Order: sequence, then structure tokens, then C-alpha cells
Amino acid sequence: MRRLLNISALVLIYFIFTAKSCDGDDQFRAAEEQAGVNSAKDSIAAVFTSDTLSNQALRAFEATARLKMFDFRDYLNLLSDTATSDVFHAKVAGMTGELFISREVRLDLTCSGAANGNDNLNKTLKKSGFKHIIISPGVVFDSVTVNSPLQKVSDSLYSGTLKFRLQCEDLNRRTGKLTPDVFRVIDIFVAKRENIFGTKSIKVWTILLGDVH
Amino acid sequence: MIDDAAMIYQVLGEKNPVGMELFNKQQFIDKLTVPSGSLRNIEILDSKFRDEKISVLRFRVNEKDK
Repeated sequence: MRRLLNISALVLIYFIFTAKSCDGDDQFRAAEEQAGVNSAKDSIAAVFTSDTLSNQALRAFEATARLKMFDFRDYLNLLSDTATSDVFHAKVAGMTGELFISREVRLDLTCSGAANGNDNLNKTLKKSGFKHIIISPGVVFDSVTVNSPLQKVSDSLYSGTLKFRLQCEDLNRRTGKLTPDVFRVIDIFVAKRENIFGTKSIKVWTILLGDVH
Repeated sequence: MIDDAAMIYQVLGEKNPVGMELFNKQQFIDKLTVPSGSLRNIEILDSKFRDEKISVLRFRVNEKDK
């Protein structure tokens, strides 16, 4: 029995002296992880805060502008849904505002033969700060393409336009559920906007929508 | 799950992805919680963790159904 205890003690001592230090490994892994994260963040920040934008970056921003138009369309559908709460509507209206360069933009999304846009959707957007907005109910837009590519206006601003097809719910149902389509143009901008990451605030290039013509 | 100082960025393209938009934690959560068409087509490309929280996330939106 005593011999068995001695052997067990020796085995235990062997494991204690040969075991790797967990603390050391964990610290090394954490430092390595931190370095990888810092390096990735520095590279990302360099792309989004550069002094000028490459042609490739401008084409990418144009693609993002198209996606923002589809987000705008989806947000309008959510705001038109009377089954959802006012709190949710206010959240969506706030996010709609973030798509635009300012809430001073002129947004006329009306069609001939459609209602005048004096509904909850318009009221909610006006309440969130949009001043010049009129949107017909049941508005649909698609076929969004680049009308004029983004070009440099100043060191801190690039501008261009998108073209899109617009239809609204037809009040008279003369030609079907939707009014005949019309094409409209919307301004797009790339500007530097303040963005906060934890405690750090940096100005990053952001694509934003503007007036509808 | 997501670090407060996380940088989440959207890219375009497959072979040589180009940065399109940079989100902070709150902006990304808003994007995920408000249903929009683009949400259905988000594809996470890679991520980096720190203290078991997402610190860097790269994703793209596939333009299906547009």
C-alpha cells in the first residue's frame, strides 16, 4: 500500500513539474488575438478614412447606394404597416433618416392618379424630422441604376445620381392596381461622417441619399 | 456577443472585395433587427474575436431578388 502511495505521489509530482503553464498560454493567446484584431481594425480604418477614394471604391459606393434605395423601399413598407407599434415606427423612421444626407432633403414620391400622401407614413416621417416629404401610399420603386457616376466635388464630398422606376397604388384602378410607371432621379453623396466605435470616434466615408428630382 | 468597439464592414465582390460601408455595434444590430430585403441575403465572410466577443466582422449582401 505504501509503495502504491509513493508511486502515485511520484506520478503527481511528474505531472506538476512537466505541465505547461495555462496562464502563460492564455496570456500569449490573448496578446496574439489582440494584435490580430488591432491590425484588422487599422486596415479597415485606413480604407474608410483615406484622403481620396479610388474608382473601385466609388463603384462600390454606387452599389451600396442601390442597396440603400431598396432598404428605403422596405422601410416605407414597414412604416405603412398599421399593425406595428408607434415605437417600432419611430425606430424605422429614425433609420430612414440615417439613409439620407440630411432631413432637409426634398422627397417627392407621388404619382399622377394616386392619393396625396397625407397618411400615417408621411406623418411619422415628418415627426422624425423630414421637412419636405410627400409620399403616395403603396409606392413601389425598382429598376435602380446609376444615372451619373460619383465624382469628386470637394476634398470631403463626392456626388452622383441614381435613376429608378416609380409606381404608386392607383386610386381609380383604371389600368390595374398600380399607376403607369415614371422614372425619377435621386442624388447620392459620399461624405465623411462621424462614427463611434466604443470610446473612439472616427470620420468615415459613408454613402448617403439626397433629393429626388 | 459583439464587442462595444467592434468594426463591422460590408464589402462588395468575391475575388477582391472592396469596402462599402462601416457599421458600429448599434448600427449593425439595428440593421439586423429591422426587417429589410437586404437582411435575407447577408453572408458572413469572416470574423475576429477578442475575449470571446466579435471584434471585427466582414459580410456582404448578395443582390438576389432585386
